[in-house]
Amino acid sequence: MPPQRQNPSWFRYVAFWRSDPRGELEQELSFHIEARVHEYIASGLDPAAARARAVERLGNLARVRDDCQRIEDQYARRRSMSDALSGAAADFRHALRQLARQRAFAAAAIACLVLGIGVNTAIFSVVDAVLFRPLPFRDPGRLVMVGEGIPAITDANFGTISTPDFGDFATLDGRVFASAGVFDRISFTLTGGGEAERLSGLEVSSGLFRVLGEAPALGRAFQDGDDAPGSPDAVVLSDALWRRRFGADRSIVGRTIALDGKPTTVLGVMPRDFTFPLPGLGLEPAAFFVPLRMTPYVMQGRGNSFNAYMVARLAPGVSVDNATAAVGTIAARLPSLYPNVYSPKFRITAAALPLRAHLVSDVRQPLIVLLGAVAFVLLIACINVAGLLLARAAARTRELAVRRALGASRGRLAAQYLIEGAVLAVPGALGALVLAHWCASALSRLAPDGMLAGYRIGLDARVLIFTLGVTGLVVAVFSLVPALSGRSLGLSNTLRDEGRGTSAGRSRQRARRVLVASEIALALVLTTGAGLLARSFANVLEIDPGFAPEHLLSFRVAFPSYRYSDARVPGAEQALIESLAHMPGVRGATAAVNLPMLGGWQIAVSPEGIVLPKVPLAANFVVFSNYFRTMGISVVEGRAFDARDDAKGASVAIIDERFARQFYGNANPIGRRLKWGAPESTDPWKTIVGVVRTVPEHALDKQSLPEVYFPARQLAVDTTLVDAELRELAFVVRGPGDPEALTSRVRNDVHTIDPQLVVTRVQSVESLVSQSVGSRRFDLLLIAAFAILALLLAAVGLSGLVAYSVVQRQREIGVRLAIGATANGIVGLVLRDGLGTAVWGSALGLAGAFALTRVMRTLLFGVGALDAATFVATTAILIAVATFASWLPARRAARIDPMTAIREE
Amino acid sequence: MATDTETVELLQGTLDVLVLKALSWGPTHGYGVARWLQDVTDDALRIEEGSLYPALHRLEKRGFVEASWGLSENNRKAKYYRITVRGRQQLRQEASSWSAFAAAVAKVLTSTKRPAWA
Repeated sequence: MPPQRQNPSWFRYVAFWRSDPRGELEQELSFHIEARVHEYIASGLDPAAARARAVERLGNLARVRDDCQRIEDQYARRRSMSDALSGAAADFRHALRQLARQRAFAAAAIACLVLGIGVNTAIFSVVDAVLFRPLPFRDPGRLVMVGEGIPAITDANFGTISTPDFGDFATLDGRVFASAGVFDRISFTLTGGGEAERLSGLEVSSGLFRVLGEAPALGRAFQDGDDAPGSPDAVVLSDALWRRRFGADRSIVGRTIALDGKPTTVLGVMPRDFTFPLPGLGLEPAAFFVPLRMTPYVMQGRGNSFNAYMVARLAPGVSVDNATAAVGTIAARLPSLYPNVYSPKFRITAAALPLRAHLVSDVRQPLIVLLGAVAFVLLIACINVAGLLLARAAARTRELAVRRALGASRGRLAAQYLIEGAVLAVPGALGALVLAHWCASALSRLAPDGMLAGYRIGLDARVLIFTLGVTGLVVAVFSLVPALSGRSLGLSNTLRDEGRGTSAGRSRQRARRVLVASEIALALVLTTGAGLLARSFANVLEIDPGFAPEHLLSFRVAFPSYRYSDARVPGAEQALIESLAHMPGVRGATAAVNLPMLGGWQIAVSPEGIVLPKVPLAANFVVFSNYFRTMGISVVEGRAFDARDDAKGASVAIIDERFARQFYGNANPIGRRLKWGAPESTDPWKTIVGVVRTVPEHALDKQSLPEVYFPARQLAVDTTLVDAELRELAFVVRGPGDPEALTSRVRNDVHTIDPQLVVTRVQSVESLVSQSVGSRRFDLLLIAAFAILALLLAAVGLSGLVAYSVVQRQREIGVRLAIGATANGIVGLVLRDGLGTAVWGSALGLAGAFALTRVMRTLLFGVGALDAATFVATTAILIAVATFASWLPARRAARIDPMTAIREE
Repeated sequence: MATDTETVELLQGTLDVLVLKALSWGPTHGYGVARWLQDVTDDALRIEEGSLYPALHRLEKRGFVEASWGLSENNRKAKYYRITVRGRQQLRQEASSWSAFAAAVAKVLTSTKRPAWA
């Protein structure tokens, strides 16, 4: 018979109906021969001759048999292939029909998949871009940063170098480094063709773009000679600035623009996808690049300031360790080469640091924790779908048992499950990609401080492959769980009692219970992690910042050299402070080189008369008058800076409480002296006149260095320092209410003094404080979101489990109600059922949390990884959610009509 | 009954169409097909009868004939073949292309038209 479509798909396994082709052929042939023999005998031949002629007439029998066998084999092969295909197609149609019939089931399963796979894909796209994918430069694995260190001050490598030392390290070019470059930050006021604006950019050595392997999209990069002293001023624009300020005008190349009033030739425009520097160095993406010139002023900074970033490409065959050894040798020679700047007593060290590791050192741990957390969500979603399939499988026990009885192999049944899983997974994966796309763009917007700026985040081939892989894995897991759990079911049992309230049904329900318990365990681990982060965040917010950020507005104003000579700058700045302070409604105004949260200068200081193993590092704030009063920093001992502390007065300093405690203990520090730099430095001694509260230097949750304040007017004596550091200040005004409301009045006031002054980075000081814990908030939000998602999914899983067991026990519940059980009693019965599972899951989850929360220890603040209160609280939350999830079906159970329930079946 | 020298060589694939034609008269077994062919051709084809069976089996697999076991005229178990609807379609097609082919060959062989080179 030809294969017939309408046969049920198990038909082909009914092997015992199959004929035996070889035997049939023999029968056919023997009939043929007998018939011929009969005919020949009838025509008069004797039987022996008749048989001989009949056989002869039939021809070569061996060939006939071979031919028939070959036809048989060929056909069997073709049939098994088309069987497999038509089987898969039939399963596929079957699966689609099933889903169409069970829309709620399909919607629930697909929603779980979309959520689980979607958030995973989104987080993976971020983690991949930051941690795994090659950095967006040519052959980035060969890029290193070079940093110097002074063991006499700190054992840590600065990660940066003193600009002039670049010339010494650059001698390694061609041997250790294929090429090397250096850059440092710089700001300019851009005027002409619109409102004046202040831009942050980079001074770069002429070879920097070559090191990175990037070239401008338009025009040319710097060449050797562009950075020679006295060469014409030139600039390469970033794509962002070119589009925003110059309307993507291609004729910009070769034209001049005014930077700090100086006509500067535009050499080129960098490509759109070039963002430099990447996050991780604490620098914002550069709006422009200008040549870094080794002017006498820059050369004079040797050994004093270590602010420049050196990046180099390793020469072929050179390892990071080789490079570290090479730069170390050069660094060790620096004191003997430049004895007037490097004290021979100081040893200078240097190291090469792989670029990626250097950039991601702060974000690696949180990202890995996030990836782990989101994997938990996926696992829970997976288990939910498996649970749904398992419940459905229970309803189909009979169908499956019949199929097994008729010879469907375990493999074929598993294949059917896989196909049904795939039918769910395809829309799930597509939905997940949409969700992931949306989440990934939301993530890059929400991430603090441009944590992700410059990374190419989004759905690309790698992310698609990840999604495909995850989806495949998920389908395999959740399809095979029901297949395996059905394995042990005895066929005869199942057929006999139809899986209702019997051993087979119970074994499935037990499997489902284990799944839901593990779901609850996973959710509890995540919730506990989120709880620990939330407690940490609460602890951080409770930290007393040591000053009063409320009602403070901060902004920056630069006094560019083309309008203000070095000598005029301090006066102009003081005048602006006065003017701001006299604005109506303003209660105080001040200015400083650095503000809390934004980081002070790291300087070496030497307290007089104290012998220390290392020259201490301090955070230095250079401040104008009224700083402490305006900021609300209380003076604990002595006095604040006042009118006495000008250029003519005695050199003074103020220290914070930590400085006092660390270096003077219980002794009174007022009147003691300290010095900027090593004890041997030529800087004058400064007398300590006051002790103030400690303020966070970088962030609420980070321990600050000891802090030391100098009055700006005493530092302004040094004009080179003015030119380098005092031209751009942070101004702070204190208002009566919402500080942001002062913004326009502040701008007007600055513009009445000089319309070309640019007010930048206007923001409330409170928002500075809040930004300082931005990455903590970001991690907390994500983990909390995942935990809530996990809780919801687990609750849905538990609710489904309990609801199903209510259906199974309908008859029993009916009987109980009939013999006098109260509705409350039934609710209790069902609740106990659900909570039993929840308690098991929680016990498992607590064990998991004990084992796992330690991986996030570095993300915690003021709370241990095994904080009992958090563990208790999250378990309580989970049990509450589980109770609610079980209560919903329990309520339904109590409403069962006993008569109907008992009569049914 | 013809002698060996008078038999005609069977063209490849022709056997299938002959078998279908035989079965188009009604279901029969392999021997029946052989007998009928022998009768209508006056045994001119002298088919090696064994080769009927691979042909029958091939036709069965391709869905042109159906087979079932039955009893012969003298009460012996025999496999009967019945032509299917698809088999009849196939026969019509093959028969018409055969006729066209035969007519073309006949035209060539009976032509009196002198070719250009002669």
